[in-house]
Amino acid sequence: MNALRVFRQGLVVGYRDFRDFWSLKSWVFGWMLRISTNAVAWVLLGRVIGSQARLEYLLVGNAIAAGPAAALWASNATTWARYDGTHPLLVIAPTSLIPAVMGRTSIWLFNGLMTATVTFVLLALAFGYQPAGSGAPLVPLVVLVVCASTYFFALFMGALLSNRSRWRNMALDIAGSFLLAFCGVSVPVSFWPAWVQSLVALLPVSHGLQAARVLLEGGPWGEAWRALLLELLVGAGWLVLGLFTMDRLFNGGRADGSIELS
Amino acid sequence: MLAIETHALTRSYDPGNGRAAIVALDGVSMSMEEGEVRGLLGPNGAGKTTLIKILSTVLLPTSGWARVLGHDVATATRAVRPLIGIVFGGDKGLYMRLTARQNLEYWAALYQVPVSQTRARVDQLLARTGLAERADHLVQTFSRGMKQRLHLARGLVGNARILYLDEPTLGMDPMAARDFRQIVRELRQEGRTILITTHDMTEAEALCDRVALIDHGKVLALETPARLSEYVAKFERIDFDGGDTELLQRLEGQPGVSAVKKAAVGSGHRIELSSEHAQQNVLSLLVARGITSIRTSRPSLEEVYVQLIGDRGLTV
Repeated sequence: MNALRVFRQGLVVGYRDFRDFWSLKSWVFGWMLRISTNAVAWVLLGRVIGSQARLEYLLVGNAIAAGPAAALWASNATTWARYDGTHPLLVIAPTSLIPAVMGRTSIWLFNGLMTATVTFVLLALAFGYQPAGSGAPLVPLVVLVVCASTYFFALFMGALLSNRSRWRNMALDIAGSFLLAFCGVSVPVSFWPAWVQSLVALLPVSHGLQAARVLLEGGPWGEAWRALLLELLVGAGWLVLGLFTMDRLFNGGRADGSIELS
Repeated sequence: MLAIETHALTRSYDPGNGRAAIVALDGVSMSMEEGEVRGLLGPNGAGKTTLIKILSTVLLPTSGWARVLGHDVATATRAVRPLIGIVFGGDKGLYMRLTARQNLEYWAALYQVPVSQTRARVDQLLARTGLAERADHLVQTFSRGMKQRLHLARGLVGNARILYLDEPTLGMDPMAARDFRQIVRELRQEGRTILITTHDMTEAEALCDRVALIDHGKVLALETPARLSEYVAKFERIDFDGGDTELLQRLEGQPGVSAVKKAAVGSGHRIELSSEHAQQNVLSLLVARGITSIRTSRPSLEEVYVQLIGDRGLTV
């Protein structure tokens, strides 16, 4: 119960962090403009080089992938307690710091959800896209799962980077590029060699994206649920790994002296 | 029960590349009674903060042990952490984009203050630290002194019995520092145990029951501020105006006089003593030679500090 309270308090900090980055105006005309124009460029590429099916593939992939790209910022936010000097205070507080960290960083999960939703709506309007599948209303749920699994992956990254925070921007770019390139956003996963496919299966995004495509195209429900379940499992795996790493590394700072008081 | 107890507490770091280990804390044994205010004085790198880090459970000792109210800081962190509060100087450790009230509510949750008591606890701390009127302002708009008072309120939100103050008045203006010290005195009257690291001798003298001088990871001396001054009482100084060459030569020949120097300012001289028994003879001699402008002065803690630590003393 107290963990929930700490999470809520952390959310207040995260909201203030977020507002320091974006006002409503800059979010709409800065962030969303950048994300949506990038997605539009991909979709237009599809129109130039291929069929309507290819255009829709790129539209769905790039709209939904905008969410994970935003949620991945949580890896950076995980390291911010080091910068504002609250990290040692969180370590020595009587309760676990994990709810506080998750509260503060989860704002980026919500940003991912909003980003993907707005991007999807904008692209659908711009290109006259109308999903054929009856499962389309469930796609927001799939987007939530994809963003959440990416957020859990970001927590793991953030924990790993907690003592090496100068690498955080590079790690964010590499991870983001990898997910976009190999997880079925613009290029089907089946295009890549088997070993890449095996690796991608362990990462967030690909299964959820597959589930969304099936639902939007009116494919078999069983296939959609199976893919969604896999995305949930992948997310849960990253969450467990993230929490374990966070606990080990944050507490490991007691041994190696990496926790500075100010 | 002792509030703090350490035995042969040692912490060393491996600098890597096959270099010898750096010893930050070297076999420190000390104890503090509940309700005591203890100062830790020493230059940068002396080991003060390392000691605080171990006692506050953010650092493990390499060897030796430390207990807080009977609980081992290395192994019984769950028992130790609700008992302690830590306050450090500077802008770090606060959420600048939150209000003072939001900051305290955040830490109240982390210190498991019941929801029903949080509002009253926060209000009381804001009032006590003189921040009630600015409770709902963003911390980033606060002055240095206000931030420091908020730091202190944060350190008290869990009702800590032991407070570690790590250079709490660093960078504060004199008035703000004076107000801050007054709050620390009140905390002392409540029976809280306070361990304070500082570079400021005046602060140590004003607040501490006892002062530990620390350097190279070792405690060099542990005494009351007054007693520490006595360490160099034999080095007491006598300043006087006037006097001719013959008098100066006679003074230099007196037992217990280590030096007679021209004063840094004005036309007078300073006699430095090396024995606490020399003062009477010297004063008698000066009066007998018609010198009437005579001043004696006792050493400050700073001079004790310089005396014990030597050349590094003022590099803090």
